[in-house]
Amino acid sequence: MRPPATRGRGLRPGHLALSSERRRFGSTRLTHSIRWAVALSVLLGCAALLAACGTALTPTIPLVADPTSAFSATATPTLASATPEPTATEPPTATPTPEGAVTLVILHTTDVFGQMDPCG
Amino acid sequence: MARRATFIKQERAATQGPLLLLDAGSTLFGYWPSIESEGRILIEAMNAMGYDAMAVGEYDLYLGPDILQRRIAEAAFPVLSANLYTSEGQAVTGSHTIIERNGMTIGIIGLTEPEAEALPGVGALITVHDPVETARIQVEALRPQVDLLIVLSHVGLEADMALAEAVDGIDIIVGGRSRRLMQMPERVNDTLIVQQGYAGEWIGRLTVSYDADWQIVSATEDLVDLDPSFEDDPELKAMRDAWAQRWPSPTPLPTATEPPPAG
Repeated sequence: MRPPATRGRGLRPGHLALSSERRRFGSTRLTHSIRWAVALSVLLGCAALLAACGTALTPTIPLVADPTSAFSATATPTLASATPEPTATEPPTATPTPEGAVTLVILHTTDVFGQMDPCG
Repeated sequence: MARRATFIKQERAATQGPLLLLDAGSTLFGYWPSIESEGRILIEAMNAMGYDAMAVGEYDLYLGPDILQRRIAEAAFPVLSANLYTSEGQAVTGSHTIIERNGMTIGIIGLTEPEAEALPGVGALITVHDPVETARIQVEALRPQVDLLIVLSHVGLEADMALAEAVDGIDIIVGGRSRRLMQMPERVNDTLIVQQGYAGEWIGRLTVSYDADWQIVSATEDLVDLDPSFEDDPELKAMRDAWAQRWPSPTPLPTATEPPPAG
């Protein structure tokens, strides 16, 4: 992160004027301290959020790789063929079926590992 | 799972023919707070979503067969494994179920991976019989009673393919364990094989059409990413919030030796 004193230099004359004015009143050091404190608080807040998210995503049981699979438990799931294309989530368009024919839909999940909602 | 519930409701509303909602196992335990709740939260959620059946995977045995049987007693759907027994030789769950749906009679057989016997602390309490031989016996008995026969399997994709090669009479294998994302079903002889993802981030949708002689006319498999474009279902969101209030933080702290899956 760049020091606050250089932020916006030359781009925001009003900001520079304000900084100069503050400098005249001898408050530059105090202003910088406040800025650093605010920046540090924001960073700590982000870190806390990320840590909470990471905790929720961390299984309390170590994942065991499927020995029948070429992919490890920690690898990004891999398609059998190629990179996944965005999949339409709309239901398939109904097509006329001949008499006696039937179309079955199976929605299926697996290996949920007790997950309530990924980072949700 | 609140997004999953939204998607499932949309699908049920849009589908005119028979629709099944299945889980291939390793579902009850893993992430906080599933262990603290001894798997209750998953059963409660799956009851609300209207699952039709679930197979037993090794993670479902993490707290032992006794806890699993308690959760099965709370489930509004059958939890199945035809090859899972206690060390005393008692079946831990039912082996199969028969579902009538839109005039179809559908048989579903559950299978557990033999590797579950290596689960620390639990392996000594269970015996897992050979999935292929178990399936052969089950299919022979069930096939004449049903229009369609599904194996709900947690033995892994390659073992599923070997199973389809070895045993005739299985129409569909809905699998797990290998954590694959599939763009289309695998097909071995007349058997379709699918499985999708893990950790509840995806749901698979197999759409298969049969002619009057039960020959496959077409089959497609969709990978549905349950991203934030799906709104939370209010009922499941309320459940999730209640669980989060009851178990506000992981206890004990995560002890995973491997990083979590990507995503």
